[in-house]
Amino acid sequence: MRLPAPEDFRSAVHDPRVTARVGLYLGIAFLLVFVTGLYSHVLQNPVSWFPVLTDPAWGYRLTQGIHVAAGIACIPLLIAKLYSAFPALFEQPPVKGPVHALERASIALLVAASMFQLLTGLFNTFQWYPWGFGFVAVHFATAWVVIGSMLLHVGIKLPIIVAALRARVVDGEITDGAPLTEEYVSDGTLYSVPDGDLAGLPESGPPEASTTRRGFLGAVAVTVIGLTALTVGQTVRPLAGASVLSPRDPRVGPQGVPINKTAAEARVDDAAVGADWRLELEGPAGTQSLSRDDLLAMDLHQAVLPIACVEGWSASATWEGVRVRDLVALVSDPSVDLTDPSAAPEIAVASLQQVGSFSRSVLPPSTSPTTTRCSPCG
Amino acid sequence: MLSGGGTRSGPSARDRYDAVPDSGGRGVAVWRTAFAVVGVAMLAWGVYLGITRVPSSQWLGVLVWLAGGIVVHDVILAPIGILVGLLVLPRVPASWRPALRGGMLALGVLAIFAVALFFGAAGRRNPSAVPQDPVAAVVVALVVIAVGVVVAIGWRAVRSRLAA
Repeated sequence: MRLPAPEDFRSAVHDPRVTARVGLYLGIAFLLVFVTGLYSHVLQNPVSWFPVLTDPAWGYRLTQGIHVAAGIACIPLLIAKLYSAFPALFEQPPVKGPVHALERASIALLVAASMFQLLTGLFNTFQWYPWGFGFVAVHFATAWVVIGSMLLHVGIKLPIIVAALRARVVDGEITDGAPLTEEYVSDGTLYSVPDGDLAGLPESGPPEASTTRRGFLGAVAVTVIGLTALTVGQTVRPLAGASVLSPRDPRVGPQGVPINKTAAEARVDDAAVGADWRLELEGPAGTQSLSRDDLLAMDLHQAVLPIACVEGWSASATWEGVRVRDLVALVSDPSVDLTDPSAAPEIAVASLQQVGSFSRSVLPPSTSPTTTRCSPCG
Repeated sequence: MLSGGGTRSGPSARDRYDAVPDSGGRGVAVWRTAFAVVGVAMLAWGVYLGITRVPSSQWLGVLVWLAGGIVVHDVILAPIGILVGLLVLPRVPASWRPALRGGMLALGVLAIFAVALFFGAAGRRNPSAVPQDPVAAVVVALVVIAVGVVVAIGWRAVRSRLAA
């Protein structure tokens, strides 16, 4: 038995026109995931030159819903892309020179990093961590490697990509470089005329080839739409009932809202929330110690706000309690106008949670009720 | 079809996998350089982040997972896809093949989700994480895929009958 050669793969699916189109959709999805991931990163790890955007309250829900939905869509797109380009793996000779060796190494890195990122990202949303590394730092670093090696790959293959995207999927195979007449661009369904570089089929190519190419692209599209329909209900509530493959159901959880950690996991026991519990406030105007009864005697407000997880699920919930602003006023200099974000102070908050990187956090000044953000706990 | 014999005057079929093709024009050359430079810079930044922010005791685990992705694809997923293509597709009517390819793609994706569903449910730390029964979820998804394939084949048949 011998290894196959690129010529052994006879299906019309292994065609640059198909590879380039699936690659285009995958590239767009990857960029969406990258940008929304960066957005979350700067919110979780604020930097001085980028504002912490807490308005609108649904912004985080939208961007992180897109992050995970587009990431899930990348899985069938990546498999389809690799399937379409698979014959290239068997190029002979395997290495033609130093540039060629580097090019093949960059492909190996792109494939490895993409598979890694999508699989570990998916498993993370299912709270399954069959690995010994910290997820967040590795996910962040790998994101740059994926996008970097993808841009490098696009740069290297650009002449093939341009020609392939210009050639129509159905009958754009005549490629001698001669300008084509109007009727070749009249289809209007896909791109423009072929212009040269693309290797073509024989003129009497079997009619099956074009339907195979179009059919494969259609099948990829249907698979992506179907997979999205079965998962996106974790953040799009009307579709929650169809969401059989998603790791969360926004309707399921204690008090009707999903949670990431139980009180026991956060090591908050009955003693910690018993009669001795006090809310300690420290500010420029002194300190205050409030019991639960003190708080209940204050002005209570209700708000309907989304809790949105970076792992892609979200749910609206009704929250009731004392406004942070009213608590801050108890220990603030009375001359400070707390409704003015430029004058309002930052607030350091310590949670009852005993362990975890988010047991302490800093609330930036804001005029709005804050969005509830949730971080990965891997 | 990949190989077409000598009936065309364009480049050979082998050239479509030309790893590092010629630019052809100056505009393309400039764009290529820009993509490559930005790409290499982002890649290097990612490697730098990995080295500086991920403890060195975790590097081996990351590398094993990185290599595992390639092995899973090149040694398991792709050969299965090729064997099915070799053994099943030639034995069914041509009009069924796109739908069956789509079904295979969906099955591959479902296999990945099934692994996540089963292990996620098995290690469930609270009742709101992976709340569904994984067996029921996979069965429903299998039915959806089967219905999708049958509908696609039927739709194809109806269209070609109308066209004829």
